[in-house]
Amino acid sequence: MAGDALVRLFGVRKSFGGTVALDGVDLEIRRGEFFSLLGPSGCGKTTLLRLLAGFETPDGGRIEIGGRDMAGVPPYERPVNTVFQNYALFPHMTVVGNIAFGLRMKGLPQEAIRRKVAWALELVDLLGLEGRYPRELSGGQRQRVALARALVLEPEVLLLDEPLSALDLKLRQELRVELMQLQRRLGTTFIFVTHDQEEALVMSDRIAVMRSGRIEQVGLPDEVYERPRNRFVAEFLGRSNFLPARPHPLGAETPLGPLRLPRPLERAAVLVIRPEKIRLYPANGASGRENLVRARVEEIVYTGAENQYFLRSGEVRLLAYTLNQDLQEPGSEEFAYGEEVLCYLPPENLVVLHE
Amino acid sequence: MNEAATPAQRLLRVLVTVGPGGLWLLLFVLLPTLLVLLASFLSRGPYGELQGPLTLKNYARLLEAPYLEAFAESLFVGGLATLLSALLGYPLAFHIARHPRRDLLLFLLLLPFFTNFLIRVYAWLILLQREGLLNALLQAFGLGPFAFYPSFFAVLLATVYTFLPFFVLPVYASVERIDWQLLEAAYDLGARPVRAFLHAVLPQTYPGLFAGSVLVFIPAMGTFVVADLLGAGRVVLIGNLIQQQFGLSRDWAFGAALSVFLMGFVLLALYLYARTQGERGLEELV
Repeated sequence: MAGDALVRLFGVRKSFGGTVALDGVDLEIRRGEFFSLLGPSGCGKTTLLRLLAGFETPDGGRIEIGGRDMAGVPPYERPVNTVFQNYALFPHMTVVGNIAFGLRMKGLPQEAIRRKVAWALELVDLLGLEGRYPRELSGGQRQRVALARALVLEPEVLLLDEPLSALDLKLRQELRVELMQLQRRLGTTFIFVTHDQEEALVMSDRIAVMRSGRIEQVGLPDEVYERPRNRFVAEFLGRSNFLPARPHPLGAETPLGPLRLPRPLERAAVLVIRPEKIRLYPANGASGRENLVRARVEEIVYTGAENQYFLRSGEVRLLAYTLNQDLQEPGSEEFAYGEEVLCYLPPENLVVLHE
Repeated sequence: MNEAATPAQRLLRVLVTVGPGGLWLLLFVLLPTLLVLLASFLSRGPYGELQGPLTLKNYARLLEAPYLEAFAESLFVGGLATLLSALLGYPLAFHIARHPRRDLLLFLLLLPFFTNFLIRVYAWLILLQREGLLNALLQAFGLGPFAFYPSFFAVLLATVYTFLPFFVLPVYASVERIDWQLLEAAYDLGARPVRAFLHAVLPQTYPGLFAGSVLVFIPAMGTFVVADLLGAGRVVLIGNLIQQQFGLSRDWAFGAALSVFLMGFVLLALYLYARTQGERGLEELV
């Protein structure tokens, strides 16, 4: 997947009135990758997309696409196309009219337009709906038209602004897979804006996590999830347990007692562990190992695929997930309210954050 | 309302809900129209009264040259006034809709309506006459004086002036509802500004453009006061003819035939428009 850098941002800034939307963003997006901009609303991810599309101009910094400085290049001359959040289909044009629009603007001959439109219709599985108007289409179908309309122009970069957020869960999950397959098939660079961490983790080759106009971390989905660089990233992507820690010969001194770490701490830090990394054993089970903590079950949330245990050990609350697998598997036992359990915190899953 | 109603109850409901409006339409729209229609098939008596028997001669008279000319001139004035209103009013509607003080601008647009229409037409007369303000201004630059009044130009100017707000308001309503993201989408898909406007913005204002055109064209075609005062007899529109028949000539039968003809023409034009635009055309008009 990893190619050369296609999109480059250097110290890009943008304010609206007194509000800073982007506060010096440096970023490299490689050719052919599925890149997600993930963050809460107001973090600047949509502004970043609009700067790439050319709808806004940066207050400072530089944007390059394909090695070319985009300063002063209007949207209609950029090698990018956008799938808008609410699709922005032309209501007075049919499906074919919408898809052909960009080709017509390019001044392609009729025959080429017909061929390309047919290709796009098949690509997004819209055959048979050519003559419909947007108001006669379902949300999912509109989304496909928006995709086809942009992809038919064979952009270097496809910008997607939360394209799935208007759809219901089931459809969203189906379209995720379709989008990924489409991206792999075409090899087009996708820049995908979302506030849905699961969407980003599932679909992306790489993710940039944003907050308040800054990029907090860029990396592979598992890097960002397993090795969050700071507390914000750890909290925004999935759920986490946080433990204040001080140096200790074994690794770290925490409110749960001393815990072993791959490398002992040199200064005060916060330890992060994901709920599914904590393994639970019966209180009378495995003992005498390091990183074992005794806790009591305070609450159990059954979600179908997993059990979520809200635990308490002294003053510390812990959250642990176990998969609802075969009960014979170790670490997948079920526990009851009020029951005492042993929590194992594997050293390699304790992430150290220096704040 | 859920339990079954007896036929009498249902009838009562219909009468109470539809009744008042229906009665109003019957008394003030349908009945007068039918009277005019009837009158158009009668003829003028010796003292200007209506008398039988039924005849088509009023309609035959419509085909005589002076009436056809007046009708053609009405079409011309109405069409030209509509075109000029569109050229002035369309950008104006955008300007108002996107202006931070649009409430003020809308108020200014409607301000002339606070003064009587006749007085405003007389004001134009005073401005445009030979010793008027406009000529005085031009003469200060060594130009003129010009015979602005009475003239076709004066009639057209005052017509556009009178009906321009009726064009601006519906277009303004359309502009306010424009989805500007469609403009961005057009840019994004490679359309340069002019084409982006034509494809993404203009179609969204069609309902307003149509409503505005109808609201200017129909009254501009039928008006007689402006042509009377500023044309001083040189511009004779179908409205002037109708007024003459009911007033000076006291030939109500022929006046009624002229009215029916004008009404029929307007209805036919609207019907043809609705046909070409499909059902949506009419929906959007309402």
